[in-house]
Amino acid sequence: MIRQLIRVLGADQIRPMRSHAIAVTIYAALQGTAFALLVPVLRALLDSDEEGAARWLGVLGAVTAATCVAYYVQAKQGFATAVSSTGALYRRFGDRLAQLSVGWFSEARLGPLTRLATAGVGEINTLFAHALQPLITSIVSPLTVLVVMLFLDWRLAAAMAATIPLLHVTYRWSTAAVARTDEVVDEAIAQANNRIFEFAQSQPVIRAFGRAQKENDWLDEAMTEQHDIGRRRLRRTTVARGAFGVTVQLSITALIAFTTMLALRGTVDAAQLIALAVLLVRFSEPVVALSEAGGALRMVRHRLNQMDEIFQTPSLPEPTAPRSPADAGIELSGVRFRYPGAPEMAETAEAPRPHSSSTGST
Amino acid sequence: MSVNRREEGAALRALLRPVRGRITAGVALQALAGIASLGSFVAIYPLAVALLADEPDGSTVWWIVASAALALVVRFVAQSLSYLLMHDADMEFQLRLRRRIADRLSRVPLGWYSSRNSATVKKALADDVDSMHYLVAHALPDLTMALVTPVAALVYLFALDWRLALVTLVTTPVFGVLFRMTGKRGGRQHERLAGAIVGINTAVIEFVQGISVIKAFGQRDKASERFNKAVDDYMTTFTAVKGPLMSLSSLAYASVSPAAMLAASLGGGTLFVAADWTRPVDILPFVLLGLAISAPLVVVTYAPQALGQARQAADRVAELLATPTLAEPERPLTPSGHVAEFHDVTFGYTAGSPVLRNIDLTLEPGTVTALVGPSGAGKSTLAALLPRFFDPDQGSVRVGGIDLRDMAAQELYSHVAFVFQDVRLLRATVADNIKMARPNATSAEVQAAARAARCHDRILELPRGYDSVVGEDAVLSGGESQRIAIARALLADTPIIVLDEATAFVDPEAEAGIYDALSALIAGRTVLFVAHRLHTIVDADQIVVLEHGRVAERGTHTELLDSAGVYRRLWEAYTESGAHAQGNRIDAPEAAL
Repeated sequence: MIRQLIRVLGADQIRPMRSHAIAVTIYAALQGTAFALLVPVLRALLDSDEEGAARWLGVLGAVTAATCVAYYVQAKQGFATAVSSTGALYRRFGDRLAQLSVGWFSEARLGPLTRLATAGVGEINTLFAHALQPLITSIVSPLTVLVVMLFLDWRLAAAMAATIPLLHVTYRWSTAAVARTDEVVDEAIAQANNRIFEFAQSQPVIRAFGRAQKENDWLDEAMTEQHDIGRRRLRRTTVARGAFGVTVQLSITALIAFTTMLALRGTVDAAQLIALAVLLVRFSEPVVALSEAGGALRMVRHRLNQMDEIFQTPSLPEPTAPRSPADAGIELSGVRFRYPGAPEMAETAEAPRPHSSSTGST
Repeated sequence: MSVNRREEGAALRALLRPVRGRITAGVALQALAGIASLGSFVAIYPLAVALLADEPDGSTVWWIVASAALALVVRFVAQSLSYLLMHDADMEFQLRLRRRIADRLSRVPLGWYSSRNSATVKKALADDVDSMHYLVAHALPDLTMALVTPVAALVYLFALDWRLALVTLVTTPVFGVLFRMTGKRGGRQHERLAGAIVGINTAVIEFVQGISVIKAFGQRDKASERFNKAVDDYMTTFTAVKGPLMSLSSLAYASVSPAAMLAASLGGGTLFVAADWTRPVDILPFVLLGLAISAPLVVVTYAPQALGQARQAADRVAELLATPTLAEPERPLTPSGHVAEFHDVTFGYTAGSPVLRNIDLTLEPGTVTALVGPSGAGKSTLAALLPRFFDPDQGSVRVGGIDLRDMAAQELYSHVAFVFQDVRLLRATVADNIKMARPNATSAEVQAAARAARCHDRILELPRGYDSVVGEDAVLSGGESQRIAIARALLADTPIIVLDEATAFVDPEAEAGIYDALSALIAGRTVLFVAHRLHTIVDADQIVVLEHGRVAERGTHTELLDSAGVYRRLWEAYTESGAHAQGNRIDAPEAAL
């Protein structure tokens, strides 16, 4: 998708995009570090070491301040990137359209094209304003926590790492299942709407020839059928919709059980484990933001595909050194032509039409 | 336009009423799931207390873990049930709504399907229903979870230790103030930004939709320049308005970011422990749940938009559903004979601007009446009143002495047939389309009608001849469809026919054939004919000249030429332009079935 994004926005947007991504990563890493610092503070408190707690609290305070600054910085970067790429996208879009052949602009294309140009551009650019930050943060933050955990208690770190594949698989499966279902349901709805529209446009015939009863029944049947298809499909994927959130909670619960087991075995200090347990939660919880970012991503992907298609459409080649015609005569020389998607070709022989003559054709 | 708050949501509530139960249950279950999702966080506190005891009791500890697992199961079940209910409610709501719309459309006046209204129907069915669907299936569940979870967490924390809860929330007022400031400034700048958005959208639309003209006239570079400038202007305004707003709102969100909440809860906790107000282990819930409180603040800012859109969508749909329909008579009367009359008819598409005024017109049986006049005079509108495309605002249209409004639709259309420019063939076989008025017609009758309408040979050329299905294996040009519609009208064999000459212009190739077909159609019937080419109607029994919606003159061709009025002027202009040399005309009752 990144490749597609760059194709659409243009290579000169790579720099701002990269700056933004780096700023977000720094923010997320700082956030992860702040989370990790809760362990020494809590540990100290549980051990009744108030001085130690205050010291570590000082460090936490400093890191938190840095995190807030980093947040502000990445937000500003995001805004700058959004502005820069919105302008670039509009301009590239305009240039692209200007290069396409006139025949490409059919009646059917105009509506969706206009929507893409107005709403679509805005949607693509909310990516930078809203989606990128939660997306990167929900991955980098927990990873930072995991790395810190390695130094604090490798067993918990291992357990945390073990949940990652589960989360990943669940995420991919549930988003794919939901997307497929949404497609099917959207199609069913589109069909139902088309039927109604046909019904409306055929009213003069329906009423004039007494077909009201028959057409009403037929329409109702069609609508009910589409409704059943949609409903059955949605029922099948009810589980998929909430699956990711549940899986996150499942991993937290499992990790807590594991920690409990370690604590009861008595091999490690309870206070330490409790502090680590709290950190565990900080590991899993940001991941939930991933599913929201995923939704926004899906919408953007659709628009991106539409834009990409336009940018990939071959344009009329233009000469670098254009010449002016000598007179107004037209000459077709060995012309072969085919409408897109049509099987046959029209062929004409050499057919010069001299200047100032009139030729009709049938 | 609804103004007060209560009215605002009224249309939406009314439309959702049938599925209200399921939505409420779904929301309640989602709330339950939200509370249950806190299970694992909440469990750590009692767990810690148990583990820190001198001799941790294994069974207590495992009971706590089991409770956390139970909370997980409750969440899963409640959430799944909730989605099930909400989706069912959503689908049923959509089906009901579509049914109502279809029902309405089957009863509005035939003339209501102008291009503007078709676009309204399209928008209602696709976009508006979709906005409401989004609210029910996505926004409501997400919002419920996003609100209930932090509220539940807050209640729990306040119940434990209200002082520490307050300290944990210490940065929230900062958020509140900054957010409000953003809102206020945004409000002031709103107009400026809205104007800029309209500007860029207009520039884009003009560019995209005009592109073929632009290229054809070699204006491409200039248009691109103009477009790029519009983009630059927009980006400048956008940056100037949104820039400062974004800075403010980022500060706001930074103040309640997870790290900040963590620092607040830990800092406050440490202070309380130092002051001996609480045990160390008692600050755990605050550290665990403090972050759950700030997360939804982001979601909540999106929610009003979804609700607002759904409300507006509901209003539009309600308006569509309230479109006035044609009144059906309680006790339908039967016409006697088939004289068609217009009595003092006045009609306008919109109230207050009549297109037809005080029209009095009688069509005697077996005669041909032609309507002529400059374009915009109301000819097509008047003709459309006879097959009841609209009801007149004043006066009455009668057939066989009975007002159309007192007649059943079936009755009316067994007396009046019409062939207008936008011919509609149903997705059925060609034979079925022709037989529409008389399903029991024999194929000999069908073919005879097709021959008279000059389309029999063309039909035989189709892949399955008369059994080809229109729209599938029968792809017909405009002129071919017209002739099939004429065959259909021929077979319907109604005493009165309303025609628009423009049907012939659809297809220059087929024009002669269409004129022949029309001649066959009018033989022996009462005809109301909207004429565009004057030479075709010189033999009409009655010519009615319309000007500015009124009858200016009436008479035969010769009478009108003699009276040297509007018709004479039109005729002279017409013959001068040489158009009459083309030769097609409708011949009077010579052609026969």
